Amino acid sequence: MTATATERLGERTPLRPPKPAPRWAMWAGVGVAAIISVYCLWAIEFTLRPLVTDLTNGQEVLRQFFDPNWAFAWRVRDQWLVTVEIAVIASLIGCAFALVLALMASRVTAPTALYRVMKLVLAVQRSLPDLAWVLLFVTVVSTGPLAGILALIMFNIGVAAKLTAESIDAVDPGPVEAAQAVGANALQRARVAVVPQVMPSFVSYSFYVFELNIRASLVIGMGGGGGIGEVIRVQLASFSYANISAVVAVLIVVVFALDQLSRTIRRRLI
Amino acid sequence: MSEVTTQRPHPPSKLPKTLGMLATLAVLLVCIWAVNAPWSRLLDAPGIFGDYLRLMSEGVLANPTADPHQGYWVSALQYMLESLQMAWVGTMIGAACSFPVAFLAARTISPAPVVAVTRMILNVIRAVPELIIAVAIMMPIFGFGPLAGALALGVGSIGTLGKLSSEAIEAVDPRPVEAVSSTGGNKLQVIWWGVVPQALPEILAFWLYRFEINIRAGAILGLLGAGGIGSILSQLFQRRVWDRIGVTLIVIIVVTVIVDQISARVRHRIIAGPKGSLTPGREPMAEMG
Amino acid sequence: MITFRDVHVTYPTGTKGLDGVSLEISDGEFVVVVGLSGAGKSTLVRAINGLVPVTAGELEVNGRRVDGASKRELRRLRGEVGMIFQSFNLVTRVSVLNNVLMGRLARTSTLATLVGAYGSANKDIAFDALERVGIIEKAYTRASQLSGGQQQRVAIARVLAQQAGVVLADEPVASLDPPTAHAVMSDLRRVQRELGITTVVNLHFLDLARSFADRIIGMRAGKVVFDGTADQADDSVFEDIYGRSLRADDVVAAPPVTIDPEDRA
Ligand SMILES: Nc1ncnc2c1ncn2[C@@H]1O[C@H](COP(=O)(O)OP(=O)(O)OP(=O)(O)O)[C@@H](O)[C@H]1O
Ligand SMILES: [Mg+2]
Repeated sequence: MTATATERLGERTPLRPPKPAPRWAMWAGVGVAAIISVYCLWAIEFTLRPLVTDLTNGQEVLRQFFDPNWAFAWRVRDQWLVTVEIAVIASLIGCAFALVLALMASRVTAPTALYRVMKLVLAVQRSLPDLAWVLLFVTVVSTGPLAGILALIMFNIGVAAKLTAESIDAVDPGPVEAAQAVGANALQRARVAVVPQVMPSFVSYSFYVFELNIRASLVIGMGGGGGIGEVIRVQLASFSYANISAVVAVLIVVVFALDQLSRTIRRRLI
Repeated sequence: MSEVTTQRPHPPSKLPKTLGMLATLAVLLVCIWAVNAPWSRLLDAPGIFGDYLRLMSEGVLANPTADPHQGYWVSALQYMLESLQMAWVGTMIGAACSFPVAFLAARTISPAPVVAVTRMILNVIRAVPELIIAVAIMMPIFGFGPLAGALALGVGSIGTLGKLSSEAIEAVDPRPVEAVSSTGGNKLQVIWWGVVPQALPEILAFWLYRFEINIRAGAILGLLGAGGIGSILSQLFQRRVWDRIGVTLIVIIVVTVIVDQISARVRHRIIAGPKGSLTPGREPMAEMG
Repeated sequence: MITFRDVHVTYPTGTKGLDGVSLEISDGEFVVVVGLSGAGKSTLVRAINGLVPVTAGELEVNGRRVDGASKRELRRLRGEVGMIFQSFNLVTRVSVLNNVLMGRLARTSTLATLVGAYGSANKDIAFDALERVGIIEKAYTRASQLSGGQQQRVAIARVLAQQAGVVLADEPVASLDPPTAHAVMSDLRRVQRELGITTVVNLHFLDLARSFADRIIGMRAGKVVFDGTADQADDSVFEDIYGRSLRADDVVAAPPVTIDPEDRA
């Protein structure tokens, strides 16, 4: 009865939601997912028993976490600056590269062979976690902010180029065709008909990437890439959870503030 | 037609744009100067990197059936498999917990106070790095190993999945929902028959997307002793065993790219239906961080 | 001068877009192409600037061969052949002036394009073009803020900025309301006369075709089935081209003479 009501509504309106996949495909999918789930739970020996038996083990750590040493967060202010500097450099440079690479990785702006290759290159590049990039660059340029910057640039290219390439795939093809019809070459078409169309998304991706870089500063520093994460690494080694807690609390506030700030700037720019 | 030039409108000022560009450039330069990094090392970097790359490729190209390289491949695959298991279980936990929560956080379903409180909790969870969840809560209780890692990823996933799912729920077409309520269904029936079928494809796609992200996010947890590929990666880099690093990185790349491809196909299929006639749903990646 | 010699266009899907078309369009002519949907009007027009590749036969524009032209030759040819689209195809996020400057791309170096330095000579040309279509005061407005009719005038200005000897227009007024459609067609016709531009326009409204064309070409299933002056193209000719009797929706604004009363319902 409910089904007929929905159907009649659907007939009247073309906006009807997509037709569900045939049942066999759905059940096959559910079956596979269930098997994988059972296997994974078994493989990592999933259990919640420690919540009952060992809950008290965590008390001491948590107690320190809930008693943050605020003075410490201020004492490491230089490292905060380094984190912001790393993020600014890496996101500006990374996003500039990403725009060029994205233009090479879309069928709208690149010949078939090139965009296939670039899509693969970007997929490979995105597959390495940020930690792997830091560890790699630390061995090349030794520990410190330079390794962090290089790692984040690679990380940012992966994120921003993929998102931007997808926006380029979705641009209105009309202006591109018009540029083609006036005899523009591929670079001119990209500059005149494509870049203006993707600029708003590209700008918001860049802000997003900057925010990600602040968030990633923990990982970067733990891997040896400098900044506030390095402080965390040292404090972890000496189990100074009250210090860590203060730093992380500040980080959360900073990320939150950046989120609001970038939202306002984006709204004004676009 | 030279007299027409007088009718030309005045060009708008370029000043704001120029100032914006100059300011950005200035910020960049100040940062480059202030960060005090050994920039000159960049000159040697390509050479060093090339050397390492050569050493790594020696490991990758060596006969994989002979020792010690066979062992490298096997252990890299085992660690990577553990990463996938952690990510999957983490996503399961995130999905299971965020699904009901998403309805509480949807303005179209729940009363305003409930929405406000739920959203605030989700925002707090989203803000805390998984690293900290692992160190502060999971590892003291569950010890070292992939279980603690999976739980940390799971809690971290609740935040983003809850937020994105609640947005998907708010965006459903209200007409089928009205149709169900007009037949006199109670609230749960309305949600089950009117809302869930519409929002589920998108929510499922978010789960898969989060799985892809959890594979990468798990790496740092491994560094702390929570299992997976991260736990071996830092040791290898410290010991600079390049042939083994090469093998490990290739395993990470190949496995991740394959899993990403499969996940992307399934997501597309779920959202677009069997014929793939619809345009794929918006990529939620920009909010997944 | 545009010359088709037994031109065939077969799409990769196997569909025949053009099926042995032979035509000669002289300089300064204003030709309107009519035909039912799918007759091959767009294919005919797009073949002229190589947007659709010719699969057999010869096609010449101002003495240049279009079939078999290299990419570079095609770009040069396109620089001299303007095109106007049904959906205007403006870059809506940039200014009107920048859209008109697109017409100068074939004569601007890639480097200058990348940095956006078109030079004052090109700007003068763009302003002259805007002046001709009467929207010079909108030069620095974003194209997205213009009405449909104004946007199509910008597209005409873009073509004028090319200083093209040939202009192609694929259903240029199909997205406009009737009065605006008339006004835009009049503008196009006026600048075409002033500058002596060879123009090929696809239209599916027969009253517009009659009132603006020097010459009407009727197409059906990829073939030219009528070729004559606007005066020769009476209702029976159109019924012949369309293969059916005329209907109210074949005209923009129903002028009393052309409609068969039986078909009005
Ligand atoms: N890119 C394409 N690929 C395959 N077939 C095409 C393509 N473009 C057009 N066709 C086919 O070629 C034939 C002629 O199409 P064309 O677009 O030239 O018609 P038209 O007269 O412009 O129609 P309309 O008034 O609808 O625009 C049609 O059968 C069409 O389906
Ligand atoms: Mg057409």
